[in-house]
Amino acid sequence: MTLSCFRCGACGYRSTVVKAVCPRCGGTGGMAADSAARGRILDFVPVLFPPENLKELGRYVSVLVELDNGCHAFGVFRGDPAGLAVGAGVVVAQADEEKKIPFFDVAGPGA
Amino acid sequence: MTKRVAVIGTGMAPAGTSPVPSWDLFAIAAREALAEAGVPLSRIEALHLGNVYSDFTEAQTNMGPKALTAMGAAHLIPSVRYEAACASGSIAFRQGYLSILSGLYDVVLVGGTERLRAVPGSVVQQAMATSMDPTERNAGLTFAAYWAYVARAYARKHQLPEPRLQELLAAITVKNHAHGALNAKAHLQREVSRDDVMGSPVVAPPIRVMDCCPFSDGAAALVLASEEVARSCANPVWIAGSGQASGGFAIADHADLSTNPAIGRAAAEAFRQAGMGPADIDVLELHDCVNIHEVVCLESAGFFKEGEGIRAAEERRTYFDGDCPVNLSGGLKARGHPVGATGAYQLCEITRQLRGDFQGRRARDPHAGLAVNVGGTGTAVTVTILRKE
Repeated sequence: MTLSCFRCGACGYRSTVVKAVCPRCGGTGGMAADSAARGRILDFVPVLFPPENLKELGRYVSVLVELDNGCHAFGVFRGDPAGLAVGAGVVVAQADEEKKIPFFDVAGPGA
Repeated sequence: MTKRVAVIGTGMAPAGTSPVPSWDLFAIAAREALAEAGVPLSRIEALHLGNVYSDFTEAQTNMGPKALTAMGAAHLIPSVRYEAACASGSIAFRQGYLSILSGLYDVVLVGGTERLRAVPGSVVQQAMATSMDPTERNAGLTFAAYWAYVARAYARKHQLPEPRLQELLAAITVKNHAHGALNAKAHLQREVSRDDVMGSPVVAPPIRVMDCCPFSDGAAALVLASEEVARSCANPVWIAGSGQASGGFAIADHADLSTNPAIGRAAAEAFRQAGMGPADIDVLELHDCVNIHEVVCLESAGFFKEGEGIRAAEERRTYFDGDCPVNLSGGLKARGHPVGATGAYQLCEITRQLRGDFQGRRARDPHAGLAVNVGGTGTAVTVTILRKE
């Protein structure tokens, strides 16, 4: 499972959203498709009152992840909370294309 | 720029729960401001109005003319609505200020209005989420989670254990309620204890319910005038500096959430225009939508070094009788947060502090005051400095 990312051909800026103009260098040459399957947790926050658009998740943990390709992305952690720690390795567990929710889980041994 | 512009009148509807729509609320505030200024409505040449969520919460757009009509304006002056999330009111103020500086007008009415409490909280929450990056909100980031990320980043950077961080944050809430308890226009006119705050439910750790401000209804208005007009007014308060800056929209791209460079930039511009520095400011209104943001404002605007602003409330330095009085209105936490009007309330409150007629806790003989108003996830920022003659 991978998460779609995009990379500016001019400066290398990465984002999970394709942008018409690179916000870092102003380049308009387009962003190439990229992807990542793994990353590490930069920080995480339990969300005890989920918003309307994510009510069906119940309580969840928001994670900010630095993917292995350097892209930063928010997502929802769906693994064992005991594995949550800043710097911990995670894998992309699911990318809900309809709701655009990236889900992450703890990286297993050797991942 | 050699022209000067003054605040010659202020008006505030009580913040809280309003039985009337936002345009009528603004009419109440505007009439108070006009009466204070001693000018008739017919003297107003333009209206600059901050409002954010009337589309969602009142099914009403085209708010400029709507508010003018509610005021009883029979003449067809220009009116415009500004939307910049929670900074809308102060940006309307700034645009009115710039329109006088440009020489186009001599007397304008500025302010903000909002009514959020007539609809379910879930509607307000969904409306507020539209002020964030859509990719990030779809990925599970909420405003509460954003402030928790900010607080965690601050604690990590300054090596504060979470229980100690929560104690220090609670001291800010206690201080703002102590001030707001005496403000007759405040939404929550009551004192609270540290135990009240620490015992309130956790929303997104380390942030608790009582670390956060309420959503409020409210409206505030100010009459601004050119120096030629203001000279004949009883008690003008001068606009000494007005800075505005924008922050990056995508939170994931921010290198350090514990500070806000946009606040620093807007403050530097306001101080440059005023020929002042933080030591010259006697009273502040800061954007404490969540108490950690009072700290971010204090440090990013240069009032405290990084890592020191968090202790200011516990050390009583930001109380009304401290060396850096902050949020004597009660701030967003106790005065309330009528989103599009909040920045206008701050500027009314600073004006009244400087005139010495603020009905609540007052600073000791202040000569200059400063307001920081911030919208979205730190993305729209104004810093305004007012001073007496």
